[in-house]
Amino acid sequence: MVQYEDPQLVQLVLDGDTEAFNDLVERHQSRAYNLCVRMLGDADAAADVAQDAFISAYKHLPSLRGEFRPWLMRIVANGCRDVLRSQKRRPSVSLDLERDDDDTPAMQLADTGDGPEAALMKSELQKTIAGALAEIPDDQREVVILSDIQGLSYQEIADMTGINIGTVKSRLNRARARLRELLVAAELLPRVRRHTLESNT
Amino acid sequence: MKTKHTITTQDMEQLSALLDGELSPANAAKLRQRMQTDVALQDAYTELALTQEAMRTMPTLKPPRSLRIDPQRLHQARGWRWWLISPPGGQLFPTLGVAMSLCFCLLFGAVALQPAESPVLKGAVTSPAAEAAPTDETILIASDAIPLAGSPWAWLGVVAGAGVLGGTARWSWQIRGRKRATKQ
Repeated sequence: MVQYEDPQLVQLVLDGDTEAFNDLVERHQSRAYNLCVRMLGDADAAADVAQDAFISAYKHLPSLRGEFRPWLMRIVANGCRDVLRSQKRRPSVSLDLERDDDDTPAMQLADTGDGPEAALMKSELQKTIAGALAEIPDDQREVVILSDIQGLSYQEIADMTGINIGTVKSRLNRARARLRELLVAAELLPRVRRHTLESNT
Repeated sequence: MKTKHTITTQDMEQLSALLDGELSPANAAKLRQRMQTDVALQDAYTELALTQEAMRTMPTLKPPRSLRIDPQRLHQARGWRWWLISPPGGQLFPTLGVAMSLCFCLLFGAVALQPAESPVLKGAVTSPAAEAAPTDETILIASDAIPLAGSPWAWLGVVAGAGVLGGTARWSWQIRGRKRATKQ
């Protein structure tokens, strides 16, 4: 089967091939859903927001200028912000998402091949991070997810969120500082050489 | 000798940017130099790096269901922009647009080129005496026959018509090009 790049698929969709749009959905649904689920903390709501974002992307596809992925992710992020704004509540993120029962489709994760102890430690770490993410403000959470989980550059984050790079930096810094505090408090970060602080002065 | 300093918010921001490779080479070198002598800075950097690494261990979650969209639903979601790229009736609609704007252009062009006091317009006024000294009445007749004859408004109509003509022709060409690309 021929594997089309995004621009070719977009062109096919504009030419009336709706199935080509579902190829785009297949390709980007994981990234879109993961942003939503980390932002909203609710698997079903995240799937709904991600799907609505795809429908909105289809509706506005003729006005697309530039690359599809950042444009789509901007729509997804806007959708998440709208939901958070309308709910006006703290997301119940993560502890549910990272729970241990693997029956739910949301937990069909790739097997990393870790031993039981390492897997347990990793699971604990993920739960703590997810809980910590739920505690930080929405704007900081969005930036840290985009940077550290989705791996976007500052410029890409600034373009996507419509804020300047200075604000990206400061939000990211505050988010990381808070996450660091929580991980240190939970003793999930390896002990750093704090004992050397005084002795070396 | 290693020392311990208080880390400021700006230091933390710089450490964070250094971690992401987003610090300028000059600032990065300066910060690294400071880190060699400042243990607190080193520790903060290490902890930030570990935090980021921990974040990266977060698993990629699978959606609880496929997000594929029913083509029927997609079709219903089409907005007005879709109408522009695939108008109802295919190429027929823009072709009609081109033809109508061409007619509009020609009509206003003919009116604009027509002198307001031409003998043709005056019709019955043919006597040399009347031509030599046209009365208010004859001019009135001419103006009644074609109101915008020779006026700047008619030229404005020509320009507007040409604009619409150009727009619809371009639109038509784009649709034709898209259809050709699809066939290939």
